[in-house]
Amino acid sequence: MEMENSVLPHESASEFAGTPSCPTEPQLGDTVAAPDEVYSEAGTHSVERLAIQLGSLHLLCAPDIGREVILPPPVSQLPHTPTWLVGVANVRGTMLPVLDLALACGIEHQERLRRYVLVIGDSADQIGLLVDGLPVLRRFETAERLNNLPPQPPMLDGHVHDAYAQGGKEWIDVNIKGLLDRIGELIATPSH
Amino acid sequence: MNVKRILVVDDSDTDLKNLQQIVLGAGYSVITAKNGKDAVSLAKSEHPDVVLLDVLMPDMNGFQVCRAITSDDATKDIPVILVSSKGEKTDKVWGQEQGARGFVTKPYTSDQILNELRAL
Repeated sequence: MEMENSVLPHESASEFAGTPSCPTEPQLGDTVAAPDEVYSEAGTHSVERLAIQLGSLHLLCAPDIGREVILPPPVSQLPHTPTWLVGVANVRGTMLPVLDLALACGIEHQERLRRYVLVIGDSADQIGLLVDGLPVLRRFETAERLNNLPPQPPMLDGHVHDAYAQGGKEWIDVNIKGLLDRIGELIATPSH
Repeated sequence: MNVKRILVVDDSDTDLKNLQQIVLGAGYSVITAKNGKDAVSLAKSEHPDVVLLDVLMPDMNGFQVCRAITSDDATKDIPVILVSSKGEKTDKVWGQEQGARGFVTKPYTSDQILNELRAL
């Protein structure tokens, strides 16, 4: 079976047929690597990243960081926490803190995109990030790497290690785990 | 694609046995794993023709296992079919992003499983 150059590469007999393809969201077919392409970060030929959108901000993180993507679940708000800690959700018996990273960065969400929660972490320590549109894998060539980092929200300071230009957008490559550690510290501080 | 040997992965004994019976009954040979870590390890060591993979598992879930298999040079040519009670469109798109070739929602019929295998 061959991967076709379409939005949904495996449509035929599978339940994959009918999966959403809103034209305003990142499309799957243009970012999924062909089967014969080899991810070779060491050779700097190209890098693969999981791309997420927060309003006007386009972030990249490690391609295997996502555990799953879910629709925003009902949450219980927590008192005396930052507004960007949306609350805690019960997802199949696991307590999932849901963060609005866009709000934490002072960015408005992209209203024309459906909102999802990207779940990251291991089974015992998960966290959900509200994102605009479905996260997708994107591949970046060395030539697309920016020499200078673009302006970024202060919340990201110290956690950005690269940036790329692709599709008329600047993509900021962040150490999401480091960022979440910092956010955890902010939540723990009593000043909020 | 000439499918002979299938790796079936499910943390539920009942579901594992059910899937195993379906594919054995159709003449395929079967290897089984009950967690994601073992599944990735068996995919490398046994190199099955197909992986039938449950999604909701503790520790590594099926999406993560799928990504591990399809992004590894040693196993990336092994088709992965996700089998899950998580049947939202979001799950199917995310499964595709992780490299899955097919998706079957539980509860399934034996025909659905076998059709997926024959479609490869």
